[in-house]
Amino acid sequence: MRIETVWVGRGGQGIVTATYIIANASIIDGFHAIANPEFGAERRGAPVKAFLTISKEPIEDQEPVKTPHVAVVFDDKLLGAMQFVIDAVKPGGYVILNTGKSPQDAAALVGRDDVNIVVIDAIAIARKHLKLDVPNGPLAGAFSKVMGFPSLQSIREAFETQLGKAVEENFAAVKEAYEVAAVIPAKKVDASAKPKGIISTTSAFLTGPYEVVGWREVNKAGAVFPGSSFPYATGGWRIDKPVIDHSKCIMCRKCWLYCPDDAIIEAWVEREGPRGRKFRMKMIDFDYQYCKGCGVCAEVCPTGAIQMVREI
Amino acid sequence: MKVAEEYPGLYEYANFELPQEELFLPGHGLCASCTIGVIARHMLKVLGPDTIVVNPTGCAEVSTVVYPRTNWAVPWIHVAFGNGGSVASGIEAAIKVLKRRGVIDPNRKINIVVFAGDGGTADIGFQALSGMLERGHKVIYVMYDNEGYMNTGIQRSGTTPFGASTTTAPAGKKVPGNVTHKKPMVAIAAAHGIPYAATANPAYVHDMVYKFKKAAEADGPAFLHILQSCTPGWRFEPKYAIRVLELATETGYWVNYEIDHGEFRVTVPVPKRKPVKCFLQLQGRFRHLKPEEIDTIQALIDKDVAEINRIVGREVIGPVDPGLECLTPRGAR
Ligand SMILES: Cc1ncc(C[n+]2csc(CCOP(=O)(O)OP(=O)(O)O)c2C)c(N)n1
Ligand code: SF4
Ligand code: SF4
Repeated sequence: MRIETVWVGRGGQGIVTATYIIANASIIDGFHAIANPEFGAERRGAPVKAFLTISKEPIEDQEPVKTPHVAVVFDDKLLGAMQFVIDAVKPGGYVILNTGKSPQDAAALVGRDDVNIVVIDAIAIARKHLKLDVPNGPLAGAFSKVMGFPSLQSIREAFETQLGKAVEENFAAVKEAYEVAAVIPAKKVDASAKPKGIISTTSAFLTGPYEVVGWREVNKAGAVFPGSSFPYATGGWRIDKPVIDHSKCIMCRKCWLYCPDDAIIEAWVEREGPRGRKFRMKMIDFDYQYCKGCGVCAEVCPTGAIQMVREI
Repeated sequence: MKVAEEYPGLYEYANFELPQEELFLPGHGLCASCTIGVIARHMLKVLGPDTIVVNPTGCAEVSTVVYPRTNWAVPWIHVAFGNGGSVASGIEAAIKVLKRRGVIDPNRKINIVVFAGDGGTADIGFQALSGMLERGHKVIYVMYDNEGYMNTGIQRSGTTPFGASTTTAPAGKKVPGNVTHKKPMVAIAAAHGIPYAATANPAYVHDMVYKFKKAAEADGPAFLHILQSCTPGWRFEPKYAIRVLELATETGYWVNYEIDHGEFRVTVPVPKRKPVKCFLQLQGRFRHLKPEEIDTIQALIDKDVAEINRIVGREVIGPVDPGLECLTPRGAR
């Protein structure tokens, strides 16, 4: 038996730790395991990938996983940008997805009926037990439930050796996820079919359409056109999105001043006055294509007009 | 508005007059809430499109220029970790020659900026910076200080504060994290006899913007030391990125001042200080500190503040008032 898995999520969500925990726990249970994260210049919120292979026999190769049995996805917004990970899952394999959406909606998002889909609201569980947005514990719990290993007891031991702190809180989150993870079985599996694609090994840094530039198009000295970053839609990094209550906004522009991502814009809007007269006024709006959901605007707003609302 | 009377020009940009135009564009890979974004946005608003940015390796560089695209809507050049000052010197000298030969209009004002991290400035880029200041090149050197080598995984740098836990100076049983104090970069730069050196803090945008403007107008090299909060490195919740910087100034940990042709001025006076504990407790990198270590840090700050008050000749940074609430309530500022 040899299970190959890929874990995709965002910098800061604990992807690497999750693979170490499962690897450790599997080893305690008598398996062989190897966890190899793919490091690049990942910032907080940027897509990150990690590979984990578990086997009854010793593992000799250290290759990245190309067509996994299991894909663990930490953020449903990655489904669009990292569709190639879903496509690469072997028919009959598993997609474990963290989302606040209903299992049916989530399954529709995954868009495959030849894999088992596991749906879990890991962020809600993490916020409940740890008061943090780190969904790795609950996803480890969901993994353990659907795969049947490693045992909860070993996960707990792995937390002790790996983290050494907040073991109780993390374990409570794992246990809850173990109990509530919803499994939607695959409808039809053609075991002889090949996956639709393979996982490329380049580090996925930004979400958005990628262009592979051939050497012929590379300018002299690697020069690139100033200000050409617009196609990088960093809005996919969000967990919460800012929403404004215009009746409370006094247009002090503090949010605009302090937004690190230039995601706050002033838009002219047309309004109707009390006697039906139309006039134009300026209002604060968000550019959700780029807003990373950091919450700075809500925090600096002097009137509390901005609220952060959960999005995934 | 006493400050405005005392320093004309300070609030020039205050009343909604910051240019709307963005030359530091969205779509960058900086961490959510990273205040490098705030610094770079306002820097280019003030300096305008005729600016050349020289960017040594660091978070700002790897996150904003992901081949084949860039966030900078101005000419930008990547340089090695240690030679920001040298490359900028070369660019400045070349522009001088081109102006003399009439290739570029001699009256055109071109700003040359080095945008470097604390590691690329206070440590490995130090000799290049010192050489540039010594030769008197008209370059604005902006050091964004997140108090560590954040891009490569939070190692300690020459400006990491006392007591901060980093991956190369971790807090343990015997040592409370980093044991040195911040390198006084502005004092070192000013000692080269340059016309303008200042500290700034993005939480005080108008003050920071005024300093960019003064730096651009200086008749020689200008050095700006700007504090920058870093979520993974300082370990605070992303939403507190500006709050934690505010606390740095409110506690006297960070004093906003300038040295203009040798004249020392505090540009953001703090009549009453909050205890430094307020600044420390928001961050995970100080979580391990024992009360006596916090007292040590408080004492270090008291000493710095006394020194600043002595130079100014009156009390610009006031005494600690333990009665103040750590997080200023909403709308009070
Ligand atoms: C000569 C050299 N040594 C080491 C490195 C690796 N390196 C790249 S960025 C970096 C840290 C940069 O730190 P800092 O200047 O403080 O900027 P920050 O990452 O905090 O923005 C290091 C050590 C390098 N690029 N060149
Ligand atoms: S949440 Fe952060 S990125 Fe989004 S608009 Fe507010 S400050 Fe900008
Ligand atoms: S690691 Fe720190 S300095 Fe670097 S991008 Fe993230 S928040 Fe900014």
